[in-house]
Amino acid sequence: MAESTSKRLKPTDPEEATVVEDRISNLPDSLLCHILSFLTTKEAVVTSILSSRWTTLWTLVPKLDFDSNEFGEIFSSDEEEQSPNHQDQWNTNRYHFTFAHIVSRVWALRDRSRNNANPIKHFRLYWRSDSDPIHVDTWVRTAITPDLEELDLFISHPKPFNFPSTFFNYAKSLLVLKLNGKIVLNPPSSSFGFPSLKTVHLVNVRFANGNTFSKLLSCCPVLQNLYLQIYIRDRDNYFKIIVPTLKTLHLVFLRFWDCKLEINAPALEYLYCRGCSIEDILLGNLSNLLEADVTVDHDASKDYGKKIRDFIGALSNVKSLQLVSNLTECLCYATETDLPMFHNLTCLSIHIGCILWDVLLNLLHRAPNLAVLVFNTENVEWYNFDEEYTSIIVSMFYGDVPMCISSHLQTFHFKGFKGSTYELEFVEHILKTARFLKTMTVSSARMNSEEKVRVLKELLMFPRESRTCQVAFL
Amino acid sequence: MSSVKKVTLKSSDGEIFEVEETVAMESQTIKGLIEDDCADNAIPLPNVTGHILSLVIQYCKEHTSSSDSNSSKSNEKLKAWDTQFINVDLNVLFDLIMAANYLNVKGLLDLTCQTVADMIKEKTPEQIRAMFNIVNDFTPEEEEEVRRENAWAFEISLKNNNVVDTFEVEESMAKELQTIKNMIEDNYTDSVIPLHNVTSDILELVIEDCKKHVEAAESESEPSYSLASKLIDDPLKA
Repeated sequence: MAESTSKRLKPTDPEEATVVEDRISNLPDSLLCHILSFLTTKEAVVTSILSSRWTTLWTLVPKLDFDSNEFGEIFSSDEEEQSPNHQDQWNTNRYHFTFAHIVSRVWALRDRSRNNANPIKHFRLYWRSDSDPIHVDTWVRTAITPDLEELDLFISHPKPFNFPSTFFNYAKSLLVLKLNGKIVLNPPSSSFGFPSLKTVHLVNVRFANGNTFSKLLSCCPVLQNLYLQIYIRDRDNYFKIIVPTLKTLHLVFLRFWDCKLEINAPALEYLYCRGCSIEDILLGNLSNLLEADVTVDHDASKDYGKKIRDFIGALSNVKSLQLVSNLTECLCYATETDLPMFHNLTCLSIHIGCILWDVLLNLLHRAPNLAVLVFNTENVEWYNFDEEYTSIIVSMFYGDVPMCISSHLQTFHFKGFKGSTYELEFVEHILKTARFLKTMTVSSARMNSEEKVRVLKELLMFPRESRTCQVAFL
Repeated sequence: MSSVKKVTLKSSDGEIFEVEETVAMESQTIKGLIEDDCADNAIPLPNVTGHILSLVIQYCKEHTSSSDSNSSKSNEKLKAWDTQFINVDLNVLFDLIMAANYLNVKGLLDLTCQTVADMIKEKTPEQIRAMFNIVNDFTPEEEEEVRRENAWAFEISLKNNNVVDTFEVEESMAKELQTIKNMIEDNYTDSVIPLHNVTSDILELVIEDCKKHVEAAESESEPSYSLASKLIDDPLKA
């Protein structure tokens, strides 16, 4: 490691003839490789021309990252695509590189100097093409070694791509798996599994049969982060997510048919869920849940009574809750006593299609320690309801003001403000009753500047119970 | 206030820092020393100056206190803090890389290396050399040979502003156009050279002309230069 910093050097000006040091080239190989590992393979190869020090550095990087998007019009992904005319334009001495050529070449040159003593730990491939995926199959198989730690594939092809089953036995050091595209997974029944795999992202992948998903999860004894986006194409789907080590779950179902979902993840801290119907979800013990951002599909003709109680009850320990439309509609069916106490809830964000004051009031009564409230009415139809809402609000605050507002609320953010009477009424009452309020933020996208000035004036005139409260208008 | 265990660190230039043990343990190196009971007195860190050590400690403090909550909000906040933190001049950046490596603070090492990588991204070799003062020690033949070995990686995009059509062309061909050659040699270019006065179809013709020209390898190609390439050369000449 070369000696480099005995004196502090000024940022350089190329014109100056003073001592101008090339600090980057003096870094040891391992650090330079670490830097290069944050680049795509193409960008790393470009550094080979910087100076003789750099010529073979890119071959030391244990990562290959190919993106077929990076290679422009001249390099087509299909060799047969070249029309005869186009062929003539190319001098016979000049090599014509296709994406497949490039990947093979890089791999070969990389191995040349080291005889496989520098295995690939991270393989990322983004491939979008109509041509035969035989190359992709070869590359994926080559990448699957006991040294592989991270695999990230995006494959876009008209036909489904069969993911090599050798993967489930060979890739023993895997830490991160990301698969996106029409990739068919078919783990063999006795697979070695992944003793270190912590993060799995599956987007639009296909499972060979009904057991595949469970088999896959059972191969991952230390799984912590699961990101799933699934198209439900068949009937009778039942997804069981039983993972005792799971901390983060991000689930999106895009479905044509119903799908049952069971979540049994007692260590779960973060839950994001879209696309299930409330009758089809079974939330197990979520006592460690810190943050939930959940919505469900809602059918207005059904009565959700008990279901909603169970569902919302499972979320009762959270610190932060994001309620999006449909779930809030479902909450109409719950009376205040149906709702659990949200003792830990400090941050609540409500984004709704129509304002359900009862729901809001019930929630506020059940969340005594609420410190942050975000009220998002961007999509609300208020025109016909202004008077009605205004009188509801007045009576709300006339009676039992929820404890959280008077003794805990510190931040209130009103998004989608339109300047209507009921909105001003609401803000006014919050300001009058929230003794510990520090920040009141009102943001509106759709008001013109005249309107904004009028509203701002009114807002600033409202008396504030909390003397340290700041009002911001965005 | 309950007594929090503290550790004393001493920089290469004699500055003393008293740091909470949990913060200091963000450094795997220091963690090892503590666990081996070698940390009773001040831990000497001969490879890190006081200025850099104070920055490292700042980083560790911020990242220890945020490690409890894994929420998306606090992650965003932390990222914003990191972006601000790493906005330092190049020399400090390299000092931080060395320190993070020596002290084995993974998060800081990744942050600093990613920052350098972002500087290298999408730049031409000439631009990278200029930025880091790298001396090109190749002979022209050697450079050509390296270029040939990895030809696929060296290309430039010529982009038309109106139609956003990007044409990727090998540098040797693009240099046929004197204007572009000048731009390249003056390090004018980002990796995409905008050509304001030229539409896509004309640009296509010009590129084909260049190809033919390069392949023919003769010099009296004036007639084969279409009017279009004159269009490029003239208006763009400063």
